Amino acid sequence: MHGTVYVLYLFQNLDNMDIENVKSQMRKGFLEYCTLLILRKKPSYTSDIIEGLKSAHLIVVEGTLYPLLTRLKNDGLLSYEWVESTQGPPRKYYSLTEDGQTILVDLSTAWNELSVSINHLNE
Amino acid sequence: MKKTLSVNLGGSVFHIDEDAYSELMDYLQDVKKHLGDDGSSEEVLNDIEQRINELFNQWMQGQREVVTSADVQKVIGILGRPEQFNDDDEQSADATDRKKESSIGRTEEKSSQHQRLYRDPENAILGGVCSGLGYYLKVSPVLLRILFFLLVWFGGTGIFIYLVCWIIMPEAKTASQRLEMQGEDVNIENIEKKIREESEKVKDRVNGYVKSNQFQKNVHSASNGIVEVFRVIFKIFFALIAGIIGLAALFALIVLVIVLLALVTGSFSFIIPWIGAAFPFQADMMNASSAVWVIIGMVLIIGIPFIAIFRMLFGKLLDFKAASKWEVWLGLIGWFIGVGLCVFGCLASLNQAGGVWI
Repeated sequence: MHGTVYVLYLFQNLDNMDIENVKSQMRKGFLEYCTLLILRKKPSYTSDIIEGLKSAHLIVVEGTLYPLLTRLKNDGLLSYEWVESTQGPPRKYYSLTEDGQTILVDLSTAWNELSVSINHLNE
Repeated sequence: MKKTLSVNLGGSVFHIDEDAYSELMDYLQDVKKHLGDDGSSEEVLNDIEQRINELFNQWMQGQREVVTSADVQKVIGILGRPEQFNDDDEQSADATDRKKESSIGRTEEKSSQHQRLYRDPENAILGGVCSGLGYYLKVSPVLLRILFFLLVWFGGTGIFIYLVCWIIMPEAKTASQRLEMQGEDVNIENIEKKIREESEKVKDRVNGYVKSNQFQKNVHSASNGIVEVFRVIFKIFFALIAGIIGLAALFALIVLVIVLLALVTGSFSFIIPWIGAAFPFQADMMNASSAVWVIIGMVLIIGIPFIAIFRMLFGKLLDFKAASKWEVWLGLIGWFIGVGLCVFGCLASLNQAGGVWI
């Protein structure tokens, strides 16, 4: 939800904004989308999500993710539960909420449309 | 041996080195600042602390007991600096470059909105000119020092330019000024950080105390010596001028005394034309007695101040006692008597010649 709306808003105001800023905002929306995608497959620990994003070269530092996850949780797209661990303190175990799943479907559609448009323009 | 502290990270206790502690504190404060105020920052901070806890546990693995600075740096590397949280690709490149620079010697701080040119008293060799300039221009101060030194040999321009810089550039005295000099944001956290960094440096310096102290002493005594030389030269110059004035007064005094004697004894009558030349107003009214009064008066008027000045300047040198009160009063009264005599003498002459007042 966030990402797509953001991106569309950005494209409308492209002349006003610094291109770096635009890229950064795009990446933000993109990260949220990818996080939701990872969680769609199965619930995961924070570290697993980080691993997934790192292996897709989407993030370099873990710190990016903590504010992002909390934001998505506060918006009601994710929920977590505490899982005890033998190796240390309890860890958060994230999963998609129903809202999250709905949004994910919308987002996927929106991104697909964008992707088609871009490809079309690139021809 | 190092001092350790106990910290609570995400629910468990860690022993951490003192310096590692302040690094970690600074980092967490930077993160907190970056997260801002949207109410979720506390939760995010907790998550991050938990993660740090996990990592430390992993690395300690029951073998080590104390978290070190290296551990903290590693954690910061993994979690990333707050600036890297949103904008991954560009900023992370900057961060690795920055780490490389700091190992060479002087970190290339990104100059924020407000960087000013100050003299750096901390790293100063002479006046902190090169150190301050180095921060502003983002070059090593050693390079600048070599440059100035070379310029000295080219007609002394180095010395001149350096002195001009020394005079123009203000010294960065307060912590906030030092931050401005280095181009870092001036806020409470940075000031606190700076003061802590500096007290660390002081500790290090106490260890290298002997060597550096000697060098500083030598340079300072040399420059003090030069200033002393200038002071002495100035004193001599001043004394010379005073001496010349004194001599002139002495000469006038002698002349007056001679004239006086001549008038009184009447034997040096050839001097009378001299009086005429020196005191033209008396040429017409050449009355010996009134002229005498005038001349006595003038001797007093010139002589008394002369004696006073002489005593002031050379009294210390020749061990005169300071003028006592009655001497001062005597001098003053004598001087006024001298003035009175002059006036009286003039009036008497006028009276004789044209018969005016008396």
